[in-house]
Amino acid sequence: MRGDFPIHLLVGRDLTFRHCAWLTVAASLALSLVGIYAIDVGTAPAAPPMPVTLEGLVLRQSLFLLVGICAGAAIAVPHYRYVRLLAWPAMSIALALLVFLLILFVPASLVTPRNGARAWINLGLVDFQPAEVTKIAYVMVLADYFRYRKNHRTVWGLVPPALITLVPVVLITLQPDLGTAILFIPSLLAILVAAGARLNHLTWVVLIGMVAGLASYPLLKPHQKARIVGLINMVQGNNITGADDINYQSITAKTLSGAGGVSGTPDDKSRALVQFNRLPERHNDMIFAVVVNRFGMLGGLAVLGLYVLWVLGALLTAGASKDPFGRLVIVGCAAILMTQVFINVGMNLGLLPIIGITLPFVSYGGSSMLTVWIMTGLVVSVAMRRPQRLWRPTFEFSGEDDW
Amino acid sequence: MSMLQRLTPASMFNRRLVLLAGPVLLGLIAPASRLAYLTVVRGAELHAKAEKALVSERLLPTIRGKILDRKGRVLAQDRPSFDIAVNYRLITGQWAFTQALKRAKRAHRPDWVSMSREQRLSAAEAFEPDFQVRLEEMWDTISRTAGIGRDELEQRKAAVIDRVSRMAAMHVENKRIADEERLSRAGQAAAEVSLSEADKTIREEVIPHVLLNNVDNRTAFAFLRLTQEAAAMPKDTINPMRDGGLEVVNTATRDYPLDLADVPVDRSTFPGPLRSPTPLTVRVEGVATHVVGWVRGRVLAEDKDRRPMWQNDPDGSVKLVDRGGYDPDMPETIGAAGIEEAAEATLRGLRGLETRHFDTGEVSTLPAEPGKDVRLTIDAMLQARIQALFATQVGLAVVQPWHRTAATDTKKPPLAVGTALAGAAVVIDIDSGAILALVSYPSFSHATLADDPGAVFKDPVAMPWLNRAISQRYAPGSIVKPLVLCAATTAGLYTPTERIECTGHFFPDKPHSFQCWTQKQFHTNHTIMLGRNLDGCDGIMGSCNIFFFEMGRRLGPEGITDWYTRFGVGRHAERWRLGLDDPQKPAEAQEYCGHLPDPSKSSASEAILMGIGQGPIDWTPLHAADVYATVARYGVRIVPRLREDVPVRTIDLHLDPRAVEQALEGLRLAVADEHGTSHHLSFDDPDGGSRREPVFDHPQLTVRAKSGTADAAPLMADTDQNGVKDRLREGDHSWCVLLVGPKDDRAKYAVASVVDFGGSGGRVAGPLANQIIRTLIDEGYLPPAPPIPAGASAHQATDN
Repeated sequence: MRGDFPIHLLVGRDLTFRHCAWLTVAASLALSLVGIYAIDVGTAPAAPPMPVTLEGLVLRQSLFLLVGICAGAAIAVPHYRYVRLLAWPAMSIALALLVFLLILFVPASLVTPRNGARAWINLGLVDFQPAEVTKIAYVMVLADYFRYRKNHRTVWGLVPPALITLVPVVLITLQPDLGTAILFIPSLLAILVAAGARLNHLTWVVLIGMVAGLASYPLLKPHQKARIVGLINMVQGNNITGADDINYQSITAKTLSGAGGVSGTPDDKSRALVQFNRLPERHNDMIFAVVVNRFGMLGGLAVLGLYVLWVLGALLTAGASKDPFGRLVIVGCAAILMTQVFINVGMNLGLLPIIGITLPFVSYGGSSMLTVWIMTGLVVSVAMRRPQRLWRPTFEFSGEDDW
Repeated sequence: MSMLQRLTPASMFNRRLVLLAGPVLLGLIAPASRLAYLTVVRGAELHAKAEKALVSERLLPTIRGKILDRKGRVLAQDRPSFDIAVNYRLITGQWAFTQALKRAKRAHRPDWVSMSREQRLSAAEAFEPDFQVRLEEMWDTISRTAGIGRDELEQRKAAVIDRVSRMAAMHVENKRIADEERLSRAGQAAAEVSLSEADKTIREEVIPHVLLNNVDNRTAFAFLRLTQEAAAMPKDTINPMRDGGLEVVNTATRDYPLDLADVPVDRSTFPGPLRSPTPLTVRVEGVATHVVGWVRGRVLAEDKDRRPMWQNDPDGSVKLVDRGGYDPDMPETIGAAGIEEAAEATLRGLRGLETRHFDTGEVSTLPAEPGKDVRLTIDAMLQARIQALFATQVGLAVVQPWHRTAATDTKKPPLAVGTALAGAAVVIDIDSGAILALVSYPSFSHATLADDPGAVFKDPVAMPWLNRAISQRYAPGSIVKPLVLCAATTAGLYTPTERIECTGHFFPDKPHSFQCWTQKQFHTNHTIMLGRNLDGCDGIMGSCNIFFFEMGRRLGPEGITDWYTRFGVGRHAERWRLGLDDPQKPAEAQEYCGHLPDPSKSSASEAILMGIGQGPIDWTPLHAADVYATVARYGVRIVPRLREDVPVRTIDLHLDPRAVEQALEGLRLAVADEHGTSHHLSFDDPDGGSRREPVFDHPQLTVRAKSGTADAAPLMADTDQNGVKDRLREGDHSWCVLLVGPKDDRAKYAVASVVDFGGSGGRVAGPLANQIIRTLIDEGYLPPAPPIPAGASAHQATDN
């Protein structure tokens, strides 16, 4: 009966393969491959007598990439209007999983705290991080919410999206995983900007948010405060206080980055440097330092350029689309991705405190890889569907005080 | 339409996309700039820092140089030895808890992560007794193998814990202060670092500490077997002795082979009451300890400041800057006194450096450079023999009934007969200026220093720590008279043909002051005794005070201080610089330069008194020997040396040869003429009669000697700590200084001997000096006496 199934209903009638999302796909693929190589550099022993501590990560990351590409493709193939239908159910499941993580009597064999955070569910072969998929569900929910609305151009209209954001942010903060929780805020702001919220409203929101952020410093946990103080010390040139503890990771990452020079260090030397400088989380949060050590400043800039390429492809796709959901999903995903990049690179270069944020596509991790490839898939999905000629472009408001 | 308007998208959504893309691009400027700064501006520096992690450096021990005597005998050397060390965590018992915690974690593995701190501690406590039992078994084994009781072992453990705890507290405080200083330098005004921020486990809290020091080979091998057996146990066996818990440390101990020496003393030529045909074997404790000095194991802050091994880089890393530097965290052997301290830089050597490159597996070794040997001018056996002469059982430096003379000052209560006396002796080789012996008695062994330091440093009378030969201030007394004669003659204030009358007292109108000793003792004077007025030769022979008061008067304050200075006395003189003083610690100088008054403030009467070595002047036995050697060289002063490697310094005083000849002849006659002050000793016989013996009994030699009885300030100390100083000793110091050489030949050696509060120079220091000459003969420096005719005793032979 396969022949009788109206497949066009599922994938859309006017598919096109000439679109800017290929830039995004190319950047994703390039970044993923750079990541796998960097994980190899970061984990392979420099000399035979030394123990291999992170054996098998390259193979696993390659499998994650394969799974990620498949997931991205699976998201890209059906029309995104069908994907949209999954937004609220996906969010509900994601929130349920976040709540599940916080239940104390869940056996440790299922939810194993790492570095004090209850963020992973042990699935046997792999660990699953619900917060990662929550990011996508959240973006889709917001995009769906703003579809055909314009009340967000009022002050009170900003409250519902803020409340929608608050739920995952609170649940993730309670894990505690402040780093991931932070990502939702820029995403919300970007979606609001793209959806046409008044800029003066948003400016006030940002200012109030900054003040609230500063005022909440006393509420931070001691280790979080120590990291901020450590960063301030380091930026001020004091590399001694905390060099052996709180700033160790940051100082080592900075050292390895700087050691890469302009064009990097040879493969074997880079492996040795990374190995014996004992950079913590070198396969994960601190992988950008490994990339810069191996490929130097030029390599680091190239990686940043690939992210720009990803965003460029995504934003061009959004600009070419007339569908409100498609537009906002892309903007939300791009915002989350770039925020992650800024924070992670800032951490690696000693500009920001260490808060446990992965570098998209490059850092080791199945959940992370799956999420970013799903984002890529969403961009491709929107890009492949030509806008209907008679569709009226969305989020086009007129107002003298708006740009 | 402006360019901006043309470029602005018509769609609001697209404008908003541009608005979002803008911050993205602008935001990239910060990481890109930072990337450029780290890789381009600081690239080389950070690369070098990262490279350091590829290299592991291990310092290798070096060997401290030996200290040798002039004949190559070893006075100090490094000797391989073994220490037994136990990890600090075992000493504190922390190991048992750590193991219990590991065991508990394994036992509660699925739930461990969800357990609270209290639950974990409680779980660990259940396993702890088992590990404590193992720990106790280990201590029992150590106690049994080492042959020491558990109590003593516990005391040693407590001492280690106490020391490390204090070090940790000090380290944290120092780190806190250093961090504050660094933060202040970095521009953070009023930066404060709390103790908890500075708190850090110090190296001492995780490394083994020596509990058994310098164990014998058999014990060391027994412990080695224990460690090997522990290492050979299956991997999962819990044994506190494995994995560095117990270590046999191959180390080096500073060894002093002549710390104790048995020296034969021939008493056949001793003064009558002490004479015996039976030689005595004297155990000499600490031959030349004052000269050789000693070492310590602890690095002091001042050592690190003077010569640091490590240097902190601004980036917080530490680099090796001097392989010969000091590291407070490493066991060291550091000179603490004497040549050990003063020649530290020479003896120390450089540690080796093993560099292991992790990335290539390459291991390079920079070999250790052993310290250089230091050769002294001292003859250790001569030193030991002279030191033995001071021993109490020998009797020469002990108060004897015949020491007291009629002239002894009755205001000063005599020391009880049998009281042991302290003293010093110096022997200088006249031709080279080399010091052959530099004896200070009592001395002490390094074993005593280690086991009972109170006996060395807290005896207020014997003061064993004091190197009397160069550090103690003595009034010189009459032994200065040859110097004064040479000075006055060379200055043109006395001509050798001039004769001066001894009237018994210097000032005609003051018969009870500035007297000659003959006046005090026999109520006569030298002019009457000799039947003539005195020239310089007579003045020295009879030690006439009047003659030398006159010389002092003629020289005046400026002249006499100037001549003392030329002979090496006082702070303006050319100093010895023997190498016993650490130039870094001028305040702790051992080499006393002697005291002279400021001539501009000194009176004529002080100059007159200084003519006989009294008044505002003091010096040391080495000054005395140095002056006599200079006279023997006709005014050429060779500054005395203690180390062979120091250059010879020569100063010509341009003495009038006639004065020198007169002085030397006076010294000879002082021994050979019956009017000489060093001619004979008188003893009371048991039958009530009196007997005389020559002080010096070496017919094959020419001995030129001068005795001196110097008025000394009383020795005061608050021994019972009641705030009032007690008078522990009072009386006169007994001097005898001589020049000796083969018969009718020039003098070869200058000998100075002094006995603290000994009294008469001729009666106490004289016989001692005579026996010192015998030690020079025994050690081959002077020809032996001719064979004794059959049937004659040794002393009868010399009497003739």
